[in-house]
Amino acid sequence: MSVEPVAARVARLVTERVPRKGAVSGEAVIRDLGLDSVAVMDLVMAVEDEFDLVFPLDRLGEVDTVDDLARVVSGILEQRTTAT
Amino acid sequence: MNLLHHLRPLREALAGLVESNPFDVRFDAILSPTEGVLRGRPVLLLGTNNYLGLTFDRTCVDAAAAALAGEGTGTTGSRIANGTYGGHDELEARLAAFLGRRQAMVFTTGYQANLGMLSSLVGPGDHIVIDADSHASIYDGVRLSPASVTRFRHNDPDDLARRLARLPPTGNTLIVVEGIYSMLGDRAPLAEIAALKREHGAHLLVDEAHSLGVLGAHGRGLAEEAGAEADVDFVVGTFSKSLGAVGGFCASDMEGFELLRLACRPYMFTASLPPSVIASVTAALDRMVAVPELRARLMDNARHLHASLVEAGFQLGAEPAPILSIRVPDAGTAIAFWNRLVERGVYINLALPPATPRGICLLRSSVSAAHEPAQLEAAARTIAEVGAELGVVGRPRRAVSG
Repeated sequence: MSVEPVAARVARLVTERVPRKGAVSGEAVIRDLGLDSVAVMDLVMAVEDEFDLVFPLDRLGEVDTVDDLARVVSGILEQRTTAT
Repeated sequence: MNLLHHLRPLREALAGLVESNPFDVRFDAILSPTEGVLRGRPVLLLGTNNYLGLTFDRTCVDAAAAALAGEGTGTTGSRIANGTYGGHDELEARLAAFLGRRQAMVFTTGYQANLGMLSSLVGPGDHIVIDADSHASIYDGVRLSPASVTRFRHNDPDDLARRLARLPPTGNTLIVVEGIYSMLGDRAPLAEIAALKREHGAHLLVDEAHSLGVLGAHGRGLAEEAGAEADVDFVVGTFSKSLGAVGGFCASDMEGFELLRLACRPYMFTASLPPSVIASVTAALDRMVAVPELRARLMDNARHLHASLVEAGFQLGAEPAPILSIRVPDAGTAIAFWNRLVERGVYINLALPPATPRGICLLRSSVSAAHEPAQLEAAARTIAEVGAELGVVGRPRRAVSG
């Protein structure tokens, strides 16, 4: 699976949750977007539902930007494809 | 750069609270389970989790005083290093018997009970699934666990089912919920969660911190009330609420449970509870069993205050429970509300995001069996007056009745 569609879907989920209007860039640092720690974990739940996967909370340590989040999601999806 | 630079947002948030910081309350005196003195004024204590009002119970105070005189002020170390006192053993046996479990382990705080159990119960390759509104001690505990951690939507068994179905087929799974959630006072839908636990071959831990001594015919908590005790593998709880002291525990029938005493770092590497605390908690457990009227009075008081606040037009977080939380539109209103209540002699808790779920602002009250109906009526009138002044509710059509 290519990273692009995943990145676009992740960006949409982030944009929906950011208090200020407008599209969010892939380079945007998530903690600077006005999401508190609980909102970031709620974003992870939405990501899990969007992609039907398990996103372990400790992997948030790898995530600064929206692109980082997309990369972790892509990695989990690829791992799952390899495993099945 | 200042070492505490990372706390700058917190410093900025507190800057507006210089004159009165609701998170730095200093009581001049505590007079009883329901009365204190704050800023020179008498206040009604309506936010202390002192559910059964046992903090000044004569039996508990005398037991603590006798232990203090007889065994000294502290154990000065952990049970691994300094050994177990008779009181520790006895309290663990009494707790296990009360909860109908084979074993119990006592921790130095309730926070450490969750930290200890959640960091030690499961291993690498296992899974923990927690309710999204879990207490900070659960979040901190699972961070110390080598297992994979995921959340499900608060009190939503369908969402839990979806997330359990997504887990890989390998590894054990531990589901973690609370009996009564500390911010809104709502209860876990435990029968549905227990059914999912069975269906998925998972284990279930219930934190009864706010429900021990409060729910169930015998006070064993939500699991007893919901008829789900057989499905609960681990009961966690605290001594700092209904039992009026400090400390925590976990009780279980699990084979090998005793191994945790040598694996659970928040148990092993901290000083054990002092004899006086162990003695007062043991006495409080006896009182809880011997005086079920305390629980009945607590729930009567909860219903009473709930009805008064609903009648005044407040939006409450949940059905009648010892925790009653009023939703307030924003942090500024919540802080003003809290300050006016203190000025008029009512002490409750202010709860703001991210300590609250879904960004809501709350004025959180907790009722005690020790409250007299007249105290609760007066508090409800004051809360309704301030709520009307701040536009949280309309002016009462008539006085809030008892």
